[in-house]
Amino acid sequence: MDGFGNPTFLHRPLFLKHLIEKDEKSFNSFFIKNRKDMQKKNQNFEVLIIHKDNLLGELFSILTNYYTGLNCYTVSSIGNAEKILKDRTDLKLVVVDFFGFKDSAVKLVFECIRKKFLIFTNDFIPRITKDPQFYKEFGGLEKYSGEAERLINNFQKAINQFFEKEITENKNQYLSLPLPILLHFKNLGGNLFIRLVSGRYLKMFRKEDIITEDDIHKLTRRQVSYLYIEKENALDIIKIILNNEDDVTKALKNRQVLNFVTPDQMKKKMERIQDIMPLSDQELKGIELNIQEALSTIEQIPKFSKFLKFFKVAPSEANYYASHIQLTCRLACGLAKEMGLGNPQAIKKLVFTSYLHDISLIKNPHLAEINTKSKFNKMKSSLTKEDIDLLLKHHEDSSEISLKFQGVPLEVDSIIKQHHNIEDGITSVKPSGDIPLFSAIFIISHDLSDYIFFNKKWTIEDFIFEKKETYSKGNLLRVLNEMNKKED
Amino acid sequence: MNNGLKLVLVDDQEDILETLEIKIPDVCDYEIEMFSFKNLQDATDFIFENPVDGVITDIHLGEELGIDIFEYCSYLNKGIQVVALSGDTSKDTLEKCFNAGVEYFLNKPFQDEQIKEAIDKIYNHFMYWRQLIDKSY
Repeated sequence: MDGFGNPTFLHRPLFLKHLIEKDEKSFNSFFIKNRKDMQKKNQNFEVLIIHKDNLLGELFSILTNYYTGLNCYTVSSIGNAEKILKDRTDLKLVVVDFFGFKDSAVKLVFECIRKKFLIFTNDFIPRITKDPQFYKEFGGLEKYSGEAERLINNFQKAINQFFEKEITENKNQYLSLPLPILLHFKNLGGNLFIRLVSGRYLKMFRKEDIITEDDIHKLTRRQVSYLYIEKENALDIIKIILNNEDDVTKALKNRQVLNFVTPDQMKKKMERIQDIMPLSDQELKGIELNIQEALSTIEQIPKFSKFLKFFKVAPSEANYYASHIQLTCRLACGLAKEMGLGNPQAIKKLVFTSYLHDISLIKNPHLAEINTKSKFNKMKSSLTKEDIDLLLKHHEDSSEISLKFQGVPLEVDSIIKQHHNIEDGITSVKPSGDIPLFSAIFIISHDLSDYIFFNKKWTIEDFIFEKKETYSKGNLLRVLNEMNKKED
Repeated sequence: MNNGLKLVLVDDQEDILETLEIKIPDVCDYEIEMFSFKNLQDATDFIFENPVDGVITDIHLGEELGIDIFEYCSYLNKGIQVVALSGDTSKDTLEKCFNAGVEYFLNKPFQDEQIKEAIDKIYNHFMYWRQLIDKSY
């Protein structure tokens, strides 16, 4: 095992310090005195997290904030820790990962703590370690040691036990997400909010937005440290972190991007689509056979065959490219059936279109996500000239490529050419006449698939409400009306 | 950037909104599209979702703070110009507006010339940048 999953990590003790300022008489009196104010004051307490790896420290800050509602400072240097310990008056907890720091540096932190606070050791300080002798001099009880070797889960248990009272009183509606980690967390399933000085939360990024380094840089310059996600959306994030702690910590340690749409969630999304737009077993089997045929067709040309794995949702990760194809394909077939076009030829046409519509982007599958003008304008500065050319021509290029394969149904090339032909579509052009019915079905399925992929709490009703102005005439309106009937 | 000027008007008093809606096109000789809101949440939702060039907002929106809109616009980085609207000209309020980066202050009850001056300021800023950006392509 590597990274956080490395068992050696568990030899590193992690101390939780429950801190009471020296002018308070005792732990008990503190709580009695403040019980009535706890709910109100809970927001004002702070947590200091000292971790050599800032991103991993931020992971602990997310868990702490989720369970306690307390605000966290994450630092990766002892100098900064010392400064915060000196300056801040509302610290309630210090979390220290000793790994990577010299013993003398850790001792300095403890000296700062001792100077400022009464420290209640023994009963109140869980220590997560496999080595009970290690750093014993700092006091504390060994708890959760070696329990399934799951450091983050053990930390969560310690936090829950330690802050039982605050947890029951944590009525925060939002989870704070530190800015640096947002470059590594993708598809969180909810909008991101900014907290104004007045305490009001206002929308800053849509759930489907791609957050860039430039965004983070601009906000940091304005001294913003966190963005916020609604707590109802945050629960899934926390579950994913706790259930996949090895993968999550390994990815963060290697500075990779974590996709929070999991294969399991994709499965659930597909199940819900089946409930809303049911297809019989035979029809589903027919789609599966067409998918196999489409993949065999793609295999015809060697330069594409090596990318075949990108067309399938991997068991370990629901990447955008494959998930988008899978969702679009299922939705297009379901919608065609609703429109009375569920015959085998029509289904074959829509399956092939789904699998070929972004084929010119297969070498750069991450570009497929930039499919609206708004996203493109936002991302333009981070794209190369080649990326931009590829993106802006991908509908035509993919259409041309589809003609090179043998056995691709008629009309697939023209549906591909039109697949972004809506107001904010990245390659949108004003159509000379009405958009043909199959193109309309595919355009709406394509749009709906993104809505479902990026949205944890999606409903067809909300989609229709959001899009009624975009699909306001001709065949696009016809398809939307059919969906509306279904919803009724 | 679009052709006309897109303005968001926010006031919890309907008569003020109506006055602005009538007077603004009257005193300005360029194309202006206006979107009126009586509360902060609806206004900020609109500002987030749509391209907007300027916002004219009351500072005291019932129990809400119009100053939040200024702060929000500055975070959005969309180049939105903001004009404050209030009958409260206390030092504290004016300082808050200045610190929040408000470009102009309209004192209630306002005169036609004041409205024109404020909107012209937004328009000139908008046209200046529009020309620069257009030339760059």
